[in-house]
Amino acid sequence: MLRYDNYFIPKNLEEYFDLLLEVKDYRILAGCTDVLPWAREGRAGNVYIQNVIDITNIKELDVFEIKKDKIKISATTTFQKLFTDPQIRKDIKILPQVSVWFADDQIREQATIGGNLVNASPAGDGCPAFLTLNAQAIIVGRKDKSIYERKVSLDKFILGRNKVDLQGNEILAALEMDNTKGYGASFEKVGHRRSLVISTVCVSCVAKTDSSGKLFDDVRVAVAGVREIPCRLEKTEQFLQGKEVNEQNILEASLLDLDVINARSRLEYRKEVLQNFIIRAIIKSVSEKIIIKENYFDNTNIKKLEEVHA
Amino acid sequence: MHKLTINLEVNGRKINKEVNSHYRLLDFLREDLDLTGSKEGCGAGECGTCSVFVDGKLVKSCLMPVAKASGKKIETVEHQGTPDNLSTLQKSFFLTGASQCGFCIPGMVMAATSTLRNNPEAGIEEIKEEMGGNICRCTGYQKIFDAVELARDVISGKLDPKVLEEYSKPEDSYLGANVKRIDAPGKVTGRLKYAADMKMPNMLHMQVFRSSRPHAKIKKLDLSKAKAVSGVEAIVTCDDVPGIDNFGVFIEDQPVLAKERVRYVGEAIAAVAADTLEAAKEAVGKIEIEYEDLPALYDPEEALKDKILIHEHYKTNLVKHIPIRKGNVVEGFAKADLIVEEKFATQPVEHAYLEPMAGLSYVDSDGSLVIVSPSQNITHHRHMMSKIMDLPINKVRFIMSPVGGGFGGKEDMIYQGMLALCAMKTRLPVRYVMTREEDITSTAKRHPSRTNYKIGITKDGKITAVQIKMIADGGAYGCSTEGVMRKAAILGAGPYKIDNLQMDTVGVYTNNTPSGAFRSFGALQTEFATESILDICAEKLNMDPFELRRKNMFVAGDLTHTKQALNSASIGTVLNELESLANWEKGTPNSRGVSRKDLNNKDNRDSCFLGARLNEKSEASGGVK
Repeated sequence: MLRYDNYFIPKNLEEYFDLLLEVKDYRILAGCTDVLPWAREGRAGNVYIQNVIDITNIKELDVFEIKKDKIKISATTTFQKLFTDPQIRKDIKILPQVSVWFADDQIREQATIGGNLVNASPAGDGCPAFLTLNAQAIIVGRKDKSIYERKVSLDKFILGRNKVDLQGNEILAALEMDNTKGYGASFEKVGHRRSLVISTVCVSCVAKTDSSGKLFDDVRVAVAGVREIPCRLEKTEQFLQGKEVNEQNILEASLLDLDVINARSRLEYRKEVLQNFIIRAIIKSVSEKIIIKENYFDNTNIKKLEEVHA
Repeated sequence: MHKLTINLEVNGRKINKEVNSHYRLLDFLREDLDLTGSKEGCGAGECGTCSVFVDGKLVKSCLMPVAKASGKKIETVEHQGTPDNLSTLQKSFFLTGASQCGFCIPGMVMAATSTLRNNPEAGIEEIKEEMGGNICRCTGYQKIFDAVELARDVISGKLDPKVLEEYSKPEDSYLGANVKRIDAPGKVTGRLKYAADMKMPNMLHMQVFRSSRPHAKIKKLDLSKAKAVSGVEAIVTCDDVPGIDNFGVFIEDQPVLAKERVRYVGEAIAAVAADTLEAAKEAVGKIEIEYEDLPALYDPEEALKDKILIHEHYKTNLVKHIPIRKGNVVEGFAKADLIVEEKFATQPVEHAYLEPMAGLSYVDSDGSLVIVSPSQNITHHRHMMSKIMDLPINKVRFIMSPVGGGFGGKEDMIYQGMLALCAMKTRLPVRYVMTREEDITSTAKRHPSRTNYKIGITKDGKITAVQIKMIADGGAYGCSTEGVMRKAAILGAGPYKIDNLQMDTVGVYTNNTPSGAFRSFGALQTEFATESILDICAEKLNMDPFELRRKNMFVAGDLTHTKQALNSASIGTVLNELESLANWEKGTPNSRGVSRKDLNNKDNRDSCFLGARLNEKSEASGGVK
């Protein structure tokens, strides 16, 4: 059971930073969908925090801008917003894709993208999707009575399990990401059930082909669930750059980054799933442009290729 | 307790109220407004029994601090209809029989309402996806989905609302007839009160201090700091038991609260009754204990060696051995052309009823002890309680509250003794509601089992002999182990003619969580082994597995393994139905995977997927308003 004496809902940044000077024992909350299950038996148990500070009503944090090249959305944006916003559904397809796999409709109404990132779970679903959008974390803080803003790329923002680059009184304010209009996207995830499940492996992919539709122009793949910090698959991406969209190239690319796996358990299983997910995610991301023969990716071709590499 | 003032609207009513500042919206609805249609199945956002609308959006009220709800409009299941004026969806749930235990149903009705509000034309995949955050343990979901599709078609005008009244009139038989479930209106409207929904004036809240050790002597138990917590009315331990402190369904081996030693992690040691749940929790946190750890047993086969005794006075860790002997297995195996030997194992399984254990106890004006709980076995519990409390049987009354799913899990008496002790000691009503975590760690599970199986069979598929030995982990206390061993032995060899049978089922004490009653009561573990080995035999004999079973199945007039004469035997009919429904590919079952002809038929259900609302066609829906 989570107990606290005071529940603060600051309305603007000044109020928020002033509050931090006043109260000592506090915890910052947004959607609350992680903290309440955390304060139960088997995890943190009964938790008492004198003050909790809910940042979802801070007016300066409320941004939702979709521009031609970039989008900027508040850290307090809910995943359901990413799932339902018509413009996002049209242009930044990876966001509704990741959202549909994220918890369930009801939790998505509360859970925020900022909470998901600051929580920095190795199995967090949001992070790999944002990584494929080249996300920048926009951080605000206050020093000597003046509010400042700094930007750090998402791959540098996450420092480890439950560890992020936030100093002193800083909070994650927003994410700035690429508008991937014209890109295909795919999010692949496996866990023990369909809704409300923690990823064992998840892969996010956004990709586009050149104007001919025959060559890979930009492929971005990221993974989570298989290592402490989610990451992009650089070798896979570089290999495909400018190459012909065909089965052989996708298969070859899928083998290049499997060594990113550094999980506590079920390594062989995760490796097999990860490779299949990479293949499937890339195929789905370009499937509007070109037809890929999925039966090419059976065990014989994979084995052949593995032998060549060995 | 710290308070805050909230202003909100609940079901159209404006409310300005001072509430406990740490309350979740769910606590506020249930405890302060008595809107108990919203249930707490898990408290962690996993089950959906607490789903409510906040400003028109469906959320899980167990994940929302009440402060967040201030200024918002809340709509609960109580706003959807009343038992005499059901909403279209509620009528559909009623008609399709979607409400069984009923505990998940208020949340299901809310999730279905939300789904159809977001898209009145939602297809079945969209319905499944959007209701994915709500769990049901009884129905297997089909009847719930049927209800939502029915309601959708009535609302859209495709179907005449009269279909909602079309219950069949049973003539000769109730079998297969869709009769009205008389309890359904109370369930689909959230009006039915389960034990955790009940309240009495001056009611206390009970919390339990539990063992963190699998096997240990209790050296010292210090309650002084816990007793000093403001609001604590009583703390009970084994010393408070007035009568015989040993109970059990078959073997009376269990104390109400641990006596001198603990035998599993999660065993109750002391119970606190306080005027608030928070005070009771705080007091439990202040109980001090010193253990002297004892070597513990986790493996039933190891336990059978009796090197360490879990109940010393029994001189053995064997709970019950049930043998069945029929014919002569040595001769039977000698006649066989093929002998197959295999080992099978099953794991403990949690019942996962949606309603966590809960109960309410009070002393009535005539001095009778009353226990209200969702017990599946109240008569037996009443007899046990009379001995424990040293009360004549006419002074013990058990009232069975609606059972929010049991599956056998509410058959063993688990917490009723502690409640009775607290009620008798304080002479005040006492309520206890387990959290999901507490329920999973402390209550009985399905028996984990290991089965050694040997079967002899002729070339043409006639079974000549079967030898089965199952060792089951009974956990720390006897509970229903003896009955489970009996049923495993009686039914385990399956509905097949076997002239030579040697069957042994053995239940053993260990320091694991106690095992108890669970659907099929032991038959599952042994029959799983039997059916699996028959499939293995079919493959080895180059025979169709249905044919192999037909060659050996019981027919009317046969004697069962325990010599009961069968007037009828339905396995033949069942096999035929099964074969046709599964589109079974006839022949030896040695092909696997996609090449099988019985996969991907029109009757097979598609595998689960997500994203029904992501394709272009449904762009307008997908929860977009």
